[in-house]
Amino acid sequence: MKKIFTPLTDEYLKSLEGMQHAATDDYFYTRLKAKMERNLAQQGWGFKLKPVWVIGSLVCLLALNGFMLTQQYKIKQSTNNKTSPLQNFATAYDQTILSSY
Amino acid sequence: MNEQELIQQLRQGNEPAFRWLVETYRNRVYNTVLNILQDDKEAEDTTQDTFIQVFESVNSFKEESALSTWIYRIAVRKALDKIRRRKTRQKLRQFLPWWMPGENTSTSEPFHHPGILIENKEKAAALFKAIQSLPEKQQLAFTLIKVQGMNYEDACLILQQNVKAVESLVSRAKVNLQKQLEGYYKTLK
Repeated sequence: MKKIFTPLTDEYLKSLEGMQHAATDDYFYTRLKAKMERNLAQQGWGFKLKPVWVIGSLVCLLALNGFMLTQQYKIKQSTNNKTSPLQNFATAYDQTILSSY
Repeated sequence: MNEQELIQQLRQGNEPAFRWLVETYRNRVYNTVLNILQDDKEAEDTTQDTFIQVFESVNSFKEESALSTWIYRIAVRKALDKIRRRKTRQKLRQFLPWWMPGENTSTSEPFHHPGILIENKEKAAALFKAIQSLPEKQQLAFTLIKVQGMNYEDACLILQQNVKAVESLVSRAKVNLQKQLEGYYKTLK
């Protein structure tokens, strides 16, 4: 293997000499148990609160909303286009002209 | 209690056995994860998640490696996930600062390992900062071997790589660190 020359890295590595191991405190197990119980309690609802589910539900709602709006618009358009028989009669016999008599 | 008995008891959901496992490994796992993540809160959180996963998936442990290696592997994977998530959040924060206004920027602050001697604190903090800029695999290999003081054999089992690959990762990390530290050294002058 080719010998590499990294004097600065070696010098800075020396600063780790005599390093003590970091440790957690004595209540670590208590906190761990509490977290496990919390996770267990949230298991039923937890997945529904994940961002992917929340965003997915929102997108579904928006799509449904859009669909309803377009349907409503279409119904409105078709009722506007339809004319009643009375209106047809009035147009055919030119009964829409106002008369002073 | 030998390892086989311990695994059996863990599989049966025996709480004293789980407690024994946690008490035996918590500091070793915490120390490894702290060296990788360089953040004590995230390290504690990851250590907890590691033991939760050990408890939940001990039934799927195939016993192809020692229990300790399996635990370390889970811890390292979880720490790596945290680093990736942290990087994603940092990118998001860069583009959408209003998205996460209260987010702490732990990576920009120097990390002071609690076990470093006072006279070495500054140099160690510079080294830890430089380690953070290494590519993932180099960062893990260098941290486990040079910072944690693990032997190559154990590190290879945890990283699931052969000795040559790990040696290569460590030497490339040293070269990259040399460049990083040269830049830091110039700013001191």
